Amino acid sequence: MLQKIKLFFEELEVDSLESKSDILENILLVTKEEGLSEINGGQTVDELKIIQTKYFGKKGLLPDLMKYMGKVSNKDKPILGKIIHDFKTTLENKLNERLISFKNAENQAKLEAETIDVTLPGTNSSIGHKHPLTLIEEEIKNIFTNIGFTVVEGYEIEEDYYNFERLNIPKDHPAREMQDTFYLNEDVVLRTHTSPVQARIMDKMCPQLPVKIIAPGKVFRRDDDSTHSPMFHQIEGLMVDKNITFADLKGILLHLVKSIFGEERKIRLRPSYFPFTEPSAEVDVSCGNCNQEGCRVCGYTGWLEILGSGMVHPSVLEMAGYDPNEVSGFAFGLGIERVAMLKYGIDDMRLLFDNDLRFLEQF
Amino acid sequence: MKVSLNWLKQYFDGNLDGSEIEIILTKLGLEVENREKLDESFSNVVVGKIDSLEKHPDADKLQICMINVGKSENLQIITGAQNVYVGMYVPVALVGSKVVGGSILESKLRGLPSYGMLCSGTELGIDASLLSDKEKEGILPLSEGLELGKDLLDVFSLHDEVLDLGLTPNRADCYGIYNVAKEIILKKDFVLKELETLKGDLAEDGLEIIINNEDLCHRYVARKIKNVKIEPSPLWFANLLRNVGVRPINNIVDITNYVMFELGQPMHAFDYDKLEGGKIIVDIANDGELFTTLDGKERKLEKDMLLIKDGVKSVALAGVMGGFNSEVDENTKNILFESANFNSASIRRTSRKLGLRSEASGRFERGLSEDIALKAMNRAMFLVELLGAGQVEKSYFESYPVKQVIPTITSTVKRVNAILGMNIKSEEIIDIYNKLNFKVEVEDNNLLVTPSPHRIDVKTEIDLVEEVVRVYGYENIPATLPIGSTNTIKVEYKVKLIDQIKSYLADYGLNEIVSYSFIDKLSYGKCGYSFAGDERLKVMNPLSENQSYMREKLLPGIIEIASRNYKRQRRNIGIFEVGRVFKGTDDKLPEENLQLGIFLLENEVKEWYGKTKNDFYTLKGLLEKLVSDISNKKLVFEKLTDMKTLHPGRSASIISNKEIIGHIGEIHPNVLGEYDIKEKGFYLELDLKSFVEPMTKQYSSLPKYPSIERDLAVILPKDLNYAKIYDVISKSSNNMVVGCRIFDIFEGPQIGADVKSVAFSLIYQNPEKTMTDDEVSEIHNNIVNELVDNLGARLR
Repeated sequence: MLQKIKLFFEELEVDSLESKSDILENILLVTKEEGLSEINGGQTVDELKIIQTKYFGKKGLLPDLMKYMGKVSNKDKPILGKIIHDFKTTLENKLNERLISFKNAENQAKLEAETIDVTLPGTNSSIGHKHPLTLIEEEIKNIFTNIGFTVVEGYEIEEDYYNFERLNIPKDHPAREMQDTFYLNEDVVLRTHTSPVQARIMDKMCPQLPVKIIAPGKVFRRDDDSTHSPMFHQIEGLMVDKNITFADLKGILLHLVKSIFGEERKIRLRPSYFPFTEPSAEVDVSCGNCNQEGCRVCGYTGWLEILGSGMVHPSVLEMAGYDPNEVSGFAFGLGIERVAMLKYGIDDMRLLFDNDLRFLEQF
Repeated sequence: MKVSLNWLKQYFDGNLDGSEIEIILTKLGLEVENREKLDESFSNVVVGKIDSLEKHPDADKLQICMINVGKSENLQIITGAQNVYVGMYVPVALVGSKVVGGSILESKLRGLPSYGMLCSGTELGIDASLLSDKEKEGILPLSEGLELGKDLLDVFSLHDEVLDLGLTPNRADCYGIYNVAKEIILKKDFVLKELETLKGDLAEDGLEIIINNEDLCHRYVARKIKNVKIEPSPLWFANLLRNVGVRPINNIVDITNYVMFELGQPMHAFDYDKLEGGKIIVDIANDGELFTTLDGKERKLEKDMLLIKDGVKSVALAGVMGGFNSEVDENTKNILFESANFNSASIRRTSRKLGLRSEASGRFERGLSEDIALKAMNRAMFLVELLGAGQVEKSYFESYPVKQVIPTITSTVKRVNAILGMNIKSEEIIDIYNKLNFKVEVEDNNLLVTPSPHRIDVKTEIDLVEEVVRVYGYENIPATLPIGSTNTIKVEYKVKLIDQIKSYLADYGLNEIVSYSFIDKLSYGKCGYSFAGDERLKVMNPLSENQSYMREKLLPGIIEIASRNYKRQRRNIGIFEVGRVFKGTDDKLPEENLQLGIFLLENEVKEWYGKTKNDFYTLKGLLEKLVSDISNKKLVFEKLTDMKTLHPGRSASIISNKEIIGHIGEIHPNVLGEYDIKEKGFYLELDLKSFVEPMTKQYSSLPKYPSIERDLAVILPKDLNYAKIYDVISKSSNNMVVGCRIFDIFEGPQIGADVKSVAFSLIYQNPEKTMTDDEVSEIHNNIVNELVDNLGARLR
């Protein structure tokens, strides 16, 4: 081939490359085809390096070709330059392409050798849990803070005065029977409900309005079996303002129940009695287990009792300094254990206080 | 309170089944706790009479009875019962019948066929409390003369249902079934039947009734019956009592019980001839007075207990129990009936103190109207005549010093609707009052309402509002949302803090527990505390000794729970509790302080990636992370030595602003031993009182110049702690050290005894400019010199 080129240039007349370029191109085409197939045949990086040297090395084909650049006329130079450039880049591109693909394959192989077992468990991954009672408490607090209630807290050890008398339960009132009370002394009790917070907060706020609070906390009663614990948790709600109605109470409770248990659930209010509210209502939620067809969970009634509520009794407002003719309010108290048991399907209250980690980790 | 449907339905003309009544009562606020059909415990049991008895030839204890059940042929039944005799009327379970315990089949007993079974009370499902001692032994004896072959369900009127009402304290009137019937009428257009009574005239003389304590007895009514014939009540009467759970005794006692269940008014019957002096005196007892009640027990009375006396002696403990000395017995000829209104609180105290609680005392405790006392007496007198129990005297005796005050309550329709958020029309409200038998007068816009006398709970306007909405129906209340002004009560930081701490700790992989606020005072000692439970925190009436003190510490509760889990083979134990602990004070209330407790078990395990375990520093790391997440506090740790709760070499006080806010450390092995935990445990308690809302963080500008890291390894006395070393480094660094990391601590013979090698990586940075190597070296050397001079360090 070199021979043919040499001959071609020897015969080439000055300034005539333009018309003869196809001859040169044809000569080079053969060479190019040979080169390409040689490159394609190269199986290793080393083989490709040899081919590279053969064409582009100091003693390679291209430097040979470049020599003719000095020998042609100025007019022919750019024509020859372009022909050589085309020839060169075709081979060079092919060569690089092949080299890169070898490189990639090599990298790929290296990474594949570093494969790990992605199904092994993560390291140091201890997962913590809040107590289910906390989860329910936080959920209920959120429902009420979203509609403008403030979370407040009361005392767990409370004066008889606030736990009973301020709630319209004087000494010797039969309603004291409803709650068996733990006493520290004659005047101090373990609060039997979160309701004393009502009196405490109204004392603090009066005469300001509105009073909108939600008060979670521990309460204590002398009872211990599978449905009662001597310590349990309640959330008290209280709203006092002008023009608060019994219908408002129903609306708020409906909102509460739907938020906790789901939009499809219904509530039922039943007349009841608490000394510190009147009218009073026990509130039932429709049984979600049987869709009110009757089952063991709801005692075949279709309803589950969840909270007590009512309109704040005029005497309770009065004792706090509010005029019951100007101001009204509602209050409710709900057992957090009861809600947790219904919501999570827990059948024994004692599980909530046993603190078995196998139980706690389910929440 | 048990209500028999058959009993209840006597009082109105309509028909309702048990479930309809349950629905109505529930809607009205009388909670039905249970509803029971009485005819389900047996079937196909009939009245039989024993015609003959013969010993079983092959069994000493068996007898062959020939029973007449009203058929042409007698039934042969073999029984093992010993209380049978010829002529006895007995319950006979026929072949194919069902009794408690199973079905009766034809059988052979020692070779002889038996076509049925004679039944005991228990086999018929009759509660033992309803049977006399005689009825409890063996086969239940039936009254003679019953129709043979008659179904026992009919004999005992057991085609009945019983509702168990859970009555609220305000509705004590419904301890009388007649008043329950009045409730039914509120929701049904039935006509309430008037009770038949036998009225009398007020006697001028004959018996003087003196009430010495008018506060404790507002009214006392008495009436005399002559020529009394004490005998069993007729079956229909006894059956009604039995169906509400009262054991029939004799006609006179049964009448007092009947009236009590009908109207709610307890009554008492004295043997008139045992009373002396022609007087009834209501008076309080002398302190220490001894009195024998009719159960034969002698009781020591206290001075505020109310007594009924005759002219000579005490004859009854008012409202609680009669006296043995005036008891009605089979020889009684004349009776004095009592129907009185006693003070509820007094009766409650007396019955509580003496441990004597009965249907009667329970009714007095809940409060009765004065009005009902005479009505009940008149009703009882009617029943005496009806049952032919004796001759009722024409006149009655009475003292009524404190008259019942029935208020007239002013209300407006507007006000009722304003409270309810409803729009009930005036006519509807008046109609409700009418149904309730409340008198209504209309005066301008006001309604003047006078409640029915038995409704002593209705005193003020709000009580009327409740009555209106109760009868109108809670299901008809609309659900609205309140409209109002904006709430300005600020939430206390403590509330947010609790939520935050729980969230962070759960995120760090710990589990929250909730333990009881009362603990066993012995647990303080078990936990190594030197105190033993503050008496000011002792519960007067605990359920048990181990729940009798309000906790002063969280550890006893937490470690108990850790131990319980440990015993269940649990080793990965990382738990926390946020709760209140108490401190006795001389004020009225104890202090309540919020605390956090965290327990970690060492739990050394081999994981696939290597060994892991918890130690002091794991817990300290958690604490530092938490404190930096919830506050801007800088903590200082000072080694503790004098504690028996924590390991003396591995525990510290947690200090912030020079104040001890908690403790942290490895739990003392003795304490772990007390709780059967056989590996290391770590505990921290943190007082949350000092955690106040942190100041808003202010940004400080970022360093513009690069930092340089240099390592430093020194040999130091072994007992020198890191805090002191760091103190020297920091003081001698001219504020150019911005970071200090310990990357190696080494002890060993290579470097000598009583020393340790500590290697630090120090990061130098000047906020003003790029530090040169020389500048860094100068400070670095200075640090080394200071360590050497002050702490006896040498370079490694």
